[in-house]
Amino acid sequence: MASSTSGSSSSSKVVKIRSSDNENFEVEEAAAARSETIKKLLEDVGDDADVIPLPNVDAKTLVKVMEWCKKHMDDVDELNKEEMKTWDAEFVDMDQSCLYNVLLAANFLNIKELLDQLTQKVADMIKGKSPEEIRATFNIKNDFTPEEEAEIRKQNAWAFE
Amino acid sequence: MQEIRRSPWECLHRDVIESILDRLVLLSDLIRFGAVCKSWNCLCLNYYREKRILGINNQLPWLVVRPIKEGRDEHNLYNLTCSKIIKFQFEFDRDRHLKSYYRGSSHGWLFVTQKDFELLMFKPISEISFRLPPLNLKRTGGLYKGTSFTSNIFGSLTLSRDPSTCFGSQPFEVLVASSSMSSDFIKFDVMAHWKSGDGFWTCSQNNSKEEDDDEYDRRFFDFIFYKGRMLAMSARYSRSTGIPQDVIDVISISIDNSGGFKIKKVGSTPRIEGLNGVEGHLVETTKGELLMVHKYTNDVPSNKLKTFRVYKVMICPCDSAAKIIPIKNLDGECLFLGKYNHGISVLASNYPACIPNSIRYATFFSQSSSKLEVFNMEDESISYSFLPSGYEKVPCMPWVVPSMQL
Repeated sequence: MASSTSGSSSSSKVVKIRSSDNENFEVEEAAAARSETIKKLLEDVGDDADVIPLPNVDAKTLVKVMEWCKKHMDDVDELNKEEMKTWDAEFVDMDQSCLYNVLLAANFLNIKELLDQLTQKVADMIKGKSPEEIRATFNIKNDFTPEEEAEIRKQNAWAFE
Repeated sequence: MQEIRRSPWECLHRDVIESILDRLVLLSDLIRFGAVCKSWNCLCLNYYREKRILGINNQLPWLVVRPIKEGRDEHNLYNLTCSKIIKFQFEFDRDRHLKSYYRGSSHGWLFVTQKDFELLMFKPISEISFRLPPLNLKRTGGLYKGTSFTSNIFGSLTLSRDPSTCFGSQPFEVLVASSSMSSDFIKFDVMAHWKSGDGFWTCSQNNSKEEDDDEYDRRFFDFIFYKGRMLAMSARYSRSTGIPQDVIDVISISIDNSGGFKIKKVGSTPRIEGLNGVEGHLVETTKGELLMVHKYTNDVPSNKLKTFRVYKVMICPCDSAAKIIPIKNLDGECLFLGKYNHGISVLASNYPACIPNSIRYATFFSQSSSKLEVFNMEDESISYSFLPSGYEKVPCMPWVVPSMQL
């Protein structure tokens, strides 16, 4: 069983969550509760909860998401804001397939701040790029016929110049 | 057999896609997003349609310019974001007697006066146009520049929405200021209203009710369709002396069943003493707040910009009165104004080319044909930004908001 124990004080409460590929994790409640979905589940089941199953998130992705939640567990004071910004920028800098999974997980787990950071990252990966470059970035196949594509470009030609 | 594997990115959850598209601030980025694949094209069009139906299009406007050369019937748009010139074609039936055919812009449409009292609106790039019915006013005064007068003089002109986003049966409306004088002396003392589908304009001439005496004329600086209301910025001038009152009003306009205009004053702002040449604008910010802008210039003929004053207009739901307070910054927004042009506000932080809390003013005067006035509200300084060489501004038709052709 994998567990997340680093740096947690003995007094803080720990909850158990289970990924879609049946790995169990122990996470501090304050970190897990960054997810509105988990918070709601915890409220519903109270202290009787054994393990909270998260059928939509695999272990690799869950580790990533919980890493973010742990970092954002406490309120950030002014002094650490810059440091946090750097940390966040490094955090979202991942390959597109990983980014996709974390984005989906953040949406399912309802972690608004993380979702904002990830969608901003995706938007930044699109900005200023040509459709060809965007396709390459996200590994998307061009499924337009040449005629369809020409028509789309013609309609708003100024945006492609 | 090789299986065509689709990227998971093609079928993202709707909420997630909306959040991503909300962050693609530039319309060109959104358009290129829609050219990636079929599913993104569909997502992009649905997203854009919904925004436009809600009236959201906070894009940095393009500036209408023309090349400085003989026989210049060519129009171009200047994209400040990437400093590029975009060409567009347009032909219309000019009234050669007029110094300028151009009559402002609103919601991405440009207006030109044509012969026989007609007003034509057209959308650059899309190259679609729309002819408004003739507006026949009773006029006093002499002939216009010694010729028979066949065109209207129009002042400020405002659309209720972009007609190309009136999917379905939603109507759109136009409010315009015009002049009862057919001489060189122009005063915008008449307002006219037209609603899509109507065959005629409703005109305020001898047809407007305001509980007051007959000593004053109302003149109209600007109009806005704001949160379901028709509002105007207006001042009253003495009929006998032509001297204005020392306040500039925000008035609420309604049209009763018999087609009569009803005018109700909802608030006033002081006119700066000792300064002449006031011009006014009503602008809705990206946050939905209403601003009233006074522009003061030197007297004719220099018309040089002196200063701006900006007020926030808060209209109470009962509609009887507005709270109007002077403001010293625009909350990070940047205004794009020009004579007769419907004012535009954008969030400066979205565009590197914008200075927050500033006003860009672009109206053609002979000495300023290739530069824009930039007024910084924080320190009240005036600076200039220059057009690409070889281009100049077009009178009365400065800013036009880009939109995606669907």
